[in-house]
Amino acid sequence: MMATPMPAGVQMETRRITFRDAVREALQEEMQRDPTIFVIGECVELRSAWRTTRDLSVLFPGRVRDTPISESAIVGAAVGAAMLGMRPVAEIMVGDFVTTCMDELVNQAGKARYMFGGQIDLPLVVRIPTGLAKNAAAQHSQTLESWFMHAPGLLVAAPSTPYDCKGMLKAALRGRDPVLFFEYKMLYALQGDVPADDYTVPLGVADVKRAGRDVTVLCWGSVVHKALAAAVALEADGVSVEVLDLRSLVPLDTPAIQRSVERTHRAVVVEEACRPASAGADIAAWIAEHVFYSLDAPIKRLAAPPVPKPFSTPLEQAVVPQTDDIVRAVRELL
Amino acid sequence: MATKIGMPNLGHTMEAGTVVQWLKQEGETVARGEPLAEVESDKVVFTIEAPASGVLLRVIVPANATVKVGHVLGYVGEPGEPVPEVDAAPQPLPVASPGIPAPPLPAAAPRPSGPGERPRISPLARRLAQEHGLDPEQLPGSGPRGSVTQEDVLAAVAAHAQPPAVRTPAAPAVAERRPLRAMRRTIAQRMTQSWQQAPQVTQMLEVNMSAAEHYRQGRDLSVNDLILAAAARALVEFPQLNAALVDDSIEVYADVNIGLAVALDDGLVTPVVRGADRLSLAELNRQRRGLVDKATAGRLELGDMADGTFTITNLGSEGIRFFTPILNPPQAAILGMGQMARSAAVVDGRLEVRPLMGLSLTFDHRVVDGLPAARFLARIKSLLEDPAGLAAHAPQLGE
Repeated sequence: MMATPMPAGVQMETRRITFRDAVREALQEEMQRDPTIFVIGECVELRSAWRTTRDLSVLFPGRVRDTPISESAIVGAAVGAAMLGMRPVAEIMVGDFVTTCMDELVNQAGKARYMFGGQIDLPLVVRIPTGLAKNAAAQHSQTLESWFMHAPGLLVAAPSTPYDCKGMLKAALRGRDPVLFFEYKMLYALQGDVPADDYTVPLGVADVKRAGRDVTVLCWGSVVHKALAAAVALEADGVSVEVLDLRSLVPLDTPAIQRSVERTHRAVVVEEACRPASAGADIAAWIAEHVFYSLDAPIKRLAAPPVPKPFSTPLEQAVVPQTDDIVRAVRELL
Repeated sequence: MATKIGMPNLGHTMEAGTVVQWLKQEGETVARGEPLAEVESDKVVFTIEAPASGVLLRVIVPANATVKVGHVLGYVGEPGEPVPEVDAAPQPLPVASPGIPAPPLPAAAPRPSGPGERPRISPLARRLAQEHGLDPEQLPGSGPRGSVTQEDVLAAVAAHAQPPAVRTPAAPAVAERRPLRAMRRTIAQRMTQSWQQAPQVTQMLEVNMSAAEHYRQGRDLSVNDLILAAAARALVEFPQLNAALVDDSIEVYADVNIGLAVALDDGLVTPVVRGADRLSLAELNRQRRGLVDKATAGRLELGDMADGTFTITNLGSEGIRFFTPILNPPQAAILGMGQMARSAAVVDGRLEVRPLMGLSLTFDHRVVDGLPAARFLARIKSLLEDPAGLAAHAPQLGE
């Protein structure tokens, strides 16, 4: 994969690292800074499945804890620890199984501050490796961001570059709220530049990954790179595509969406998740509601059909939007 | 039992159909599936096949009659079989007949669109069309699936805004009947063009008008004339403000033609004082008054408003001190006059009451940068604060 540049305007000494290193560096730097941070999950201590927590157990003895295979126990323990003043980082090794912790997240973590009259914060980060991998099949390939967008009190982040990943994870680890941090597995090997110095990227701020005139492609996570490739392909035809990387889904940077679509007058919302009641559906609805009179064409949505993610490679490719699909969708709006 | 033949439904929009001809006579033998009659909707002719074998027992709706979808056209059955009692007369429908205009049928769609669909007009196009007083349904669509887009509306607006190529001799009468919408459309189009194309910056400063007021005493001059003269002089000294970006080059004008924005009941016109840099104060006064009178009376001719290189606009009468005038494209600058009011001013270190006037200069930052624009505005200020110099300028023509 290509290396991703730093955002324009960031002027400082940089290093080139992978997305997985971005996760690890963010954890390491923040654990160094804040002794209340600890990591809990399956295979985070001895053998990190995604190598995102590699060596942390050596650097921070006792603060990286392996658990039995029980996501609800991991998140339940983390929620309790957060209520008592710790800053747990829970890893759901295979993000699909976050479904087993819905009560802990939706009914406890998201509502605790509200229900206890503001007496407690819930500074919890749940890292959720997510999305299609290679032949990972129906229980190891999903993207479930929208489930948590629906639950009040939970923040939802899904970065697309090492720079954003490191900066947003550090921001999440300095916040007061439970953050569901979706890491697209296919991005772990992606290289990109990050500042040598300490920095954060606030949650809730979208980023124009490529400025354009004619159409805004709204996306996040791994889809951002397909959108950028589509923008390059379309540029050859004189079509100028703006790629708006939302980066966070909760809070959603609606002013950025409005600014972009008011300028381009056309929007394509692209995601890997299944189409019904998805994050993209909500974003498209927001545009229709608030930017309607600036639209020069119907809002276009690209998403997976509501089928289990297949095992077969060709079907895997067919089921989620690809660069060609984005190119075609943009052309249909012009 | 006799089998009913009904008027078929040939499409989502079809409410009624016409029997073109019966292919069988009453009493004639028909086989199931054999062509029995031809019917027509507004789009297609369709052949009705016999629903059963037997004879055509009865024709209820004759050729050329129009009935609603589902209406009984006739019956097929065994010879001699009784036919249900049906009001033989077709239901009265408004059909075309001599002397009676046909009801408005769904006209051929002006653009490709399916049956029963509204014309495809983007929300943006609809909004823009409304703002420009256009009916978007009358515009040709160039967007996806024939939809009317922003581009189509702007093209129509530009087409409407074209001034007539030739003015008829009856110009004054036409000018009086000039519809409000035309002027608003022109203003809208030109202001949109200005706003979209030129990155414009406004600078403001206050001018002490004591000397100017003193100078005007006993002379037939208005403040407008002094501003006009000061602007003309400053434009000669700062030609980059007397310019325009045309295509990819900056055109610096040799002539100083200053437009004066004049508010009318229903809009705004900008008559032009030509060669303002070569006119004496008295001549500026005479020409300005002449143009404003013509404008107010609605008697301006196109030539009176053409070829401006700079514009002055004035909101001082309403108490506005400063504002952000919008460029009059393609001109690179516009000067806004604010109210002249007796205000606190520091003179020689003392607080005095002086007539101060706000000036606001908007310039096209593609053509000129902030500092030269500021110097230009400062020069206007210094000319107004020493108006004797303006009079002394009164060049070739003398005063």
